[in-house]
Amino acid sequence: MHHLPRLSAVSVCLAAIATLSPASAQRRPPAPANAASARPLTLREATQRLQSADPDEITEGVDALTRIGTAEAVAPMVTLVRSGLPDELLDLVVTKLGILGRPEAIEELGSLLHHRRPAVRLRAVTALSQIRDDRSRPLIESGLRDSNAGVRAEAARALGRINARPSLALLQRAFERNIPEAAESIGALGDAAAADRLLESVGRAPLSVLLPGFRRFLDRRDLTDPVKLRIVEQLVSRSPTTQVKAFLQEWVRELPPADRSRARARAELAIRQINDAPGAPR
Amino acid sequence: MNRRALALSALVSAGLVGCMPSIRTTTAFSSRFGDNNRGRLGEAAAAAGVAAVADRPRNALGRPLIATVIQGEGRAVAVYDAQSGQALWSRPMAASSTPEILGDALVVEVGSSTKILDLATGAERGHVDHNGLEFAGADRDGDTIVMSFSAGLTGGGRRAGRVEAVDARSGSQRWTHEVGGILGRPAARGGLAFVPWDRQSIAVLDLGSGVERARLRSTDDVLSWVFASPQGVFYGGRGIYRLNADSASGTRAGSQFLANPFEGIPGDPLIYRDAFLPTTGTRTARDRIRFTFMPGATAEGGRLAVQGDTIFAAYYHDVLAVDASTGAVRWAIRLDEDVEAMELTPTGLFVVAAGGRVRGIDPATGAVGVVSQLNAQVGAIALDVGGLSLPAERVAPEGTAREQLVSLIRDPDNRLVPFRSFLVTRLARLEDEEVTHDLLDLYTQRSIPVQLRQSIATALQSRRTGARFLVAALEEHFDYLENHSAPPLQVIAPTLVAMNAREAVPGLTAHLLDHETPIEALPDVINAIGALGEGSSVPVFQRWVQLYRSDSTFRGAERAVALNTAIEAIFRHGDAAARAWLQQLADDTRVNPVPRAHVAELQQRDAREIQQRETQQSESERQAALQAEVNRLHELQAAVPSTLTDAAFDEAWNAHLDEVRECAQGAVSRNPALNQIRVVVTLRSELPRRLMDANPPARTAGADGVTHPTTSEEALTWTGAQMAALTAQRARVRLATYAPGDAELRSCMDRVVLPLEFPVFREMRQEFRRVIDTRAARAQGGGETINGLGLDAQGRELPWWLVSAPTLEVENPPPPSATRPGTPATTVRPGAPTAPGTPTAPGTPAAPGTPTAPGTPPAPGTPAQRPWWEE
Repeated sequence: MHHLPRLSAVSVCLAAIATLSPASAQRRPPAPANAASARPLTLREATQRLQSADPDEITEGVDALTRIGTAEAVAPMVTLVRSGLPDELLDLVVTKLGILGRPEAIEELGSLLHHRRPAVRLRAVTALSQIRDDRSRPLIESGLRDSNAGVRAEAARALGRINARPSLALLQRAFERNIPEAAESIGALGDAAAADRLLESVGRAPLSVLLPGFRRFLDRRDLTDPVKLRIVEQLVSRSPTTQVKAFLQEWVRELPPADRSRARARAELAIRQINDAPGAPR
Repeated sequence: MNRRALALSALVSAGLVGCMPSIRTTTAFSSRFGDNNRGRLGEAAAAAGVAAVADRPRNALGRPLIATVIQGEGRAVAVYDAQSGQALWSRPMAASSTPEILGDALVVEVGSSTKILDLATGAERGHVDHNGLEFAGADRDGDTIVMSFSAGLTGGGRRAGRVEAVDARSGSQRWTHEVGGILGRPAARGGLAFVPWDRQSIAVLDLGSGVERARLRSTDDVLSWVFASPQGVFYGGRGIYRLNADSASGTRAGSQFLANPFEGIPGDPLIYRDAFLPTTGTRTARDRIRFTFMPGATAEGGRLAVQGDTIFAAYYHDVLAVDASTGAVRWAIRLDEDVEAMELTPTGLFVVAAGGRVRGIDPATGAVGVVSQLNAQVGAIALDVGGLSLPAERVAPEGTAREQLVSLIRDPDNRLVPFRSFLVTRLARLEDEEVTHDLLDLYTQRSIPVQLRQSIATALQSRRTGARFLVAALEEHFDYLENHSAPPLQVIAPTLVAMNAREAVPGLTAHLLDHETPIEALPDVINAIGALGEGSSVPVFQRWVQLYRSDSTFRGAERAVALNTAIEAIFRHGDAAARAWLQQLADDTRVNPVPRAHVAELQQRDAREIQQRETQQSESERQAALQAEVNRLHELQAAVPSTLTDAAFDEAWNAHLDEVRECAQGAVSRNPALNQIRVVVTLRSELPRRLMDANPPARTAGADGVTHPTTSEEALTWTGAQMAALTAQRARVRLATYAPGDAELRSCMDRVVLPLEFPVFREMRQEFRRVIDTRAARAQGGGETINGLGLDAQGRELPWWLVSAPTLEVENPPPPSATRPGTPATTVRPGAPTAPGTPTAPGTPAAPGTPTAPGTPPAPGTPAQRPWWEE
């Protein structure tokens, strides 16, 4: 998922090169008759495809518009969405709107956050997270209020992905309201106080929910060693379990050999101190 | 008979008399005793008397007392001072009824007998055996206690009763009656006992002798209790009656009656303790659901009134004061213990809880305080707390009566769910618009039980005020983070429609577009938007339907209901373009088949309705056309005269004057002395009766001979045929006679007269006479012709024969009534028509008239001295 924006950008560039460069098209030799289908569709052709009754042709048109990737490609796809599509096509178009990453799609994606089918809402959250625009964040935040756990989870993750620091308080509230996916985003966005607040949940929330959040804290370069040391100490102190030991082992293993942080040293000490026998603290 | 025999006989007689019981059972409850005797009932009511309400206890000790059965292990009967809570005495006893405080005695059932105990000490004075019956209750007047016993009080096939009067001091029997029905707890006052009988009658017995003095029988109610108080004697079932002479009517309407304004409480309690239900000596739910009141003076219009116009109700730990006239709740409080006993005195309302706590409640405000604590677990409690003071420290209920009701409805005690539902209906009756807010708030409480929630929903939908609260509630949406639920749209939306709250459309639309709105609530939301927004809502529906037209969200008939509802709203509120849009939707094979089929169904339904409307319209047009034709027919029928006027006759006659003249000339030529020719023409109308039928036949025979209801087309055809036939109908000459009897004249005239046709008339026959004055005609015609009469005053040429005929200006007079069929014929003058059935032969002319000048018809009745043609 982390690579989607980059992929999108690549495909947009490729599409732009392939379809929107009249000069290259003119330089191309005349295509044989059977090569017409291999030629990338123009905006007009792709738009026309959307009006077909054949789902395959519509898919072809959507793909072509995605490759084209310009602002003009959004409107036909929005019109297509509003025309009332079968599930597969609607899911596809919403996904493609995200891949397009165009801010022109925000309004429609915002509307789709209220689609009655959770899969559409989930995709709309994902798509919004792929659009670099300030208007996306509040829309994604609204996904935390959704009745569907999948949508809430995706909204929580998406806020972390888009680095939505203003949403930290909401994520903390979401975590307290049993949206476990918020922990990872809190780890990605939170400060020392946020780490402390998450540490308070150790013993109340399952470690499987909390540890991804702590991992994100420990992996961050912008956090200081004392903060990370405190996380390791508190974690070990509050839950000196084999699960924590395994978590620390994995983290230490992935640290660069040159890392000489106190947090690492405390983690290595804890790894040595925690017995492997289940339930044995030391 | 000798002395010994007489003495023996006397002895035997005396012995027999002595051996016979002193109690006669034939003096009461006889089937031959006349009931509802106004005089007797009035006397009974007067004997019971009406006195001022005194705030003092009824018992002989003069202290507010509480008699009770101590519950639990050492069961006992005890009497407490209500003010202090101290026990006067307590005696171990397996009491099986609620004790009754009667003067200086306490009556309580123990096993198979009822004991009479001394109220001050608890010492037993005597007892009355039940003899296989159940103790129903007792009352006392003076030193006589009257008790009722029955079999069948709690069911079973056996029905028997006994009423017994005993000495209150010793328990010795004074009289008794046994009856083949069930008797309830009696009342006693003014030397009379009032005994409820078979839930229909109340026998009034003389307390001293047991003789029945009066009997009341209800013909339209169930009489389940009676009690006597200083204010009089009262009886009833669900409502309250005052005993007086009017009770003799035996009806609610004819008696002084007050209906229970708070009827419908779960448990269905009567407004006063049921006299036919025996008490148990333990705590029962029945004791916790009850009413109390204190009778008052008669209100305006003869209506029975209660003190303070208030009735009090207790339901477990809830106590309410209710307006006796309207049923409106004055106040409502919740105690922290169930009410086991309750009594209203002039001072206050006093209740006792199972734990022995005695509370006093201010009847006006509901302020409550503790009077005393009995320090025992009590049940089967009897109160005699007149004169008891309200505690100084009282806590008044907070808020208005509405808020107090809401508080009671919020009570988490699930035993009270039915009562809370009942209170919801009472709350909903209040016009205060805040009630709508209260109900909405109650509905959204998560702790509200399902049954109660349903009651609240029903109550909410009955509201017609407070729309602003419902509109405000639409602002709420589901929010997982904030733990907010969607508002109860299935309740709110229809209510908003009923309130015609058009301002709710934006809020409703927001919920339509909100995916969190439950799918089952969508139809209500859509219907409300459609009803309130009408045409303006169509674009919203179109966009919504368009978005979901192929989505799996609404796949399947059950889930597609919302889509179908929106489509129906578009169909109903949209214009032609909207319908065209729907047609496109129906034609698109990619669209969910259920809504597509629904569009087709709507179109078919609409086509049917259009066709139906057109059919109705054309039918009404046909009916209007038919009515117009029928009206024309009626006009035609009305235009048919009873008899033909002379003018109408002459219209046909005059057309043949030339031919008549020829005949007359021939006659004169054959008899130059001929002065007159008389012609009598009898017309026959022969109007078929069916032509005068006013309306088409209800049924018409088909080609197969089977009749069917006449269609409007058939009726129209019938009417046309009737009119055609009526128009074609003609009166014809049935008989023509001439004088003189010249054969040639007859032959000539017959050729002229017999073929004549005239307008039809209603009478069967009519006679016209015409006189041809050949002499005058000849004179004025110069002898060569018989014409030449000249002109009349208006310059019209007079027909030559009109010498003795009526003038043109004068209509023939109507036929004399004496000429009606069946009456003897009378003589008519020439020129005047005769009634049907009175033809006059030429040989017997009736009152020939002397020829006169035009305009002066001959005087009737002039006797003929000789043949008129020779005059």
